Amino acid sequence: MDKTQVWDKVITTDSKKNRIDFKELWEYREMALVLVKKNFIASYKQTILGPAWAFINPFVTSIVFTFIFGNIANLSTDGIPQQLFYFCMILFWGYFSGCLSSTSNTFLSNAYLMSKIYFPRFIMPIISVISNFISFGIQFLLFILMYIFYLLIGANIHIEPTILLFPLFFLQFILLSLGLGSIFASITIKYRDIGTVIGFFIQLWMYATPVAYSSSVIPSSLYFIYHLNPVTNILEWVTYSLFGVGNPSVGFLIYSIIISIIIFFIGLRFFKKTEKTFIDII
Amino acid sequence: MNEYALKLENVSKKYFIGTIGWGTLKKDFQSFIAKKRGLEDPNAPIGYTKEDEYCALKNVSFEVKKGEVIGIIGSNGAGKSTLLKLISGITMPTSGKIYLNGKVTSILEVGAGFNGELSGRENIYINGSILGMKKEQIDKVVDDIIEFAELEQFIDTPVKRYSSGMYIRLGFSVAVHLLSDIVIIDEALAVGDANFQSIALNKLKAIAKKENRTILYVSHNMATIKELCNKCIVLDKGEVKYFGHVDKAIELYRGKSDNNQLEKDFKDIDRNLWITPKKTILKKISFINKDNNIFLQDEPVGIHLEWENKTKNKEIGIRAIIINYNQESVGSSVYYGKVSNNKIDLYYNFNNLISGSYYIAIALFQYDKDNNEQINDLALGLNINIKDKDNLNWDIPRWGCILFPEPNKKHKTSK
Repeated sequence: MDKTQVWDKVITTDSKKNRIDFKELWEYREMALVLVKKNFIASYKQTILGPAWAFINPFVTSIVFTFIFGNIANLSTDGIPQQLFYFCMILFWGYFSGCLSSTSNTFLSNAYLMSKIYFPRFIMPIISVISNFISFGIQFLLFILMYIFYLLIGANIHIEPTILLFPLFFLQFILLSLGLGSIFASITIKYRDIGTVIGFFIQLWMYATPVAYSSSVIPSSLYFIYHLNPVTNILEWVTYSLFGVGNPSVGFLIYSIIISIIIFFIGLRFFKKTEKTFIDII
Repeated sequence: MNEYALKLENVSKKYFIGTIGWGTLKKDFQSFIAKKRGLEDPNAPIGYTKEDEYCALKNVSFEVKKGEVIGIIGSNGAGKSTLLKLISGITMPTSGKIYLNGKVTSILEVGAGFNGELSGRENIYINGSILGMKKEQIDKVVDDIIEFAELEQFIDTPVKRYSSGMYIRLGFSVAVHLLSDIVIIDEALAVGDANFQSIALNKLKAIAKKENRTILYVSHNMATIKELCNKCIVLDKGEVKYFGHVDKAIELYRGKSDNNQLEKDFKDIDRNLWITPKKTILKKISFINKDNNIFLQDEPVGIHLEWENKTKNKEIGIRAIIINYNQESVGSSVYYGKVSNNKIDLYYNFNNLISGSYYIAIALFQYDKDNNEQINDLALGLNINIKDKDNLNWDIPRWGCILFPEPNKKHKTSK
């Protein structure tokens, strides 16, 4: 081949490049924004309440939790008004699990589009991360209103300066869900039975995380194992920052940051490997 | 300065036949354990061999310069769609390299990515962004897109309300106006009415000429290939059999190895699926007193035909059908009569046929008791080449294959 020929792109499996091309993703940012907007409009078009639907589900769930976990099971929420606590935890867990599920199913749900048009496949999980964040934002507005309400009726809660670490917490959620989701996605396209198991696994994971109860109910003998769950640590710090309650460990926070980063990079490798030929298998 | 838009180097693509693995983790695990223990695979059907690989493309190599319009033809299963998928980046080659210079737009299916709930205008932006364009770029061409698709009136209605024709026009219009250097079209023009097809064809021609974009065009329609492309690739069973002149490529694809056949035995010829030869069955066909298959326009075409007649009815109808390079029937000539020894010499007058390469297909028919025509056998016979006496510059796709006699200025009254 003439050595003076310059090519924009080379397609080959021999490539040692097994990393996601972030420059390319940046070029497709328009696609991400347009599709996020489309998802938002399409899901609320022709509905009565529009975007308000975003918080009805978590709100009702928080009521149910208050009844079952708060009243009947009488699990402690460390003095935080139960319904407020549950609502808050549900929002954050919802963001994480939403991103995780979307990413795990990204190849299956977008198979048609991906078989007809080329675009960097990783843009799809990124779109769900942004879309879910918008839903979260709407829900959080309601949370703020509820927070003020509970303050006014005398709840013993206050905001801690660690609230400034929120971008870090979200970053962790994103890294963890994208990473783990990518690993799940590559398994799911080949083994459909694993796909159902993953959905089920995510549900169970919620119960291993302080969403329906405060982590103070966990006996001290299980403290270490319990905190190996990276999401546990993030939620503890969120609880502390928003309500001023709890004693989250800095060490475990650092641990969960490191784990999230590692899982993210492992996930990227899985994703890159899968996206090459999943179309042939799916 | 790279004058090439695209280059393939020993590209191969293998697929696994059947399902990959056994579909569930449990089954794959069972097979894995069995293999480790040296036992028979409990999930494999009897007689299963792991040789079930299908090579869709074998060592494909070629280069395309910028601004060329390349046709890709081949029978179904030759590997055309696979080739396009690889160049588009939808899947990866098993081995080999593909070099690209510029952005690729593929029209593998018109309107992929359209969301029915949203309007045509919104879908233009979505589709454009999926194909990698920025908003400002789309803004510049959005009016052109709408105008080309002739959808000014409906552009703000949800796409789910569009007729299929409108849908196709919009999809095609978006794909064709996007700023890409390499446009790949996979028989997307095959849908849509004749009017749309000619509009689309003209647009593609304009793009190639004026905007110096490279086009790869896959089609079974030889007429469009001839019109649009300056070079053509013939794919057969995953290999590039020819890359060069369009006419030669079409001839090769049509199996012009029959080129010089002066006679044929019908027992070697496959019939169409809906024909089972019965009662009167074709046996042999040959040219009379010819040592080649080239005929001048006013030369009679002498055909010797032999058949087997299993019935008592010696009356037979012989229909000679002229078929052109685009597999269209151009015209027919019928002989009907009593033939007792099951062979005949017929001299055909194909005077008005324009120069080119044609096949003569032969149908044998008889009338049943209710006087209905029953076709007993039909098969492709010999290839004939009509040579131009006057060397007319003839446009077959537009003007057809028949040159009717010149009209008279005076109306001739019937005798």
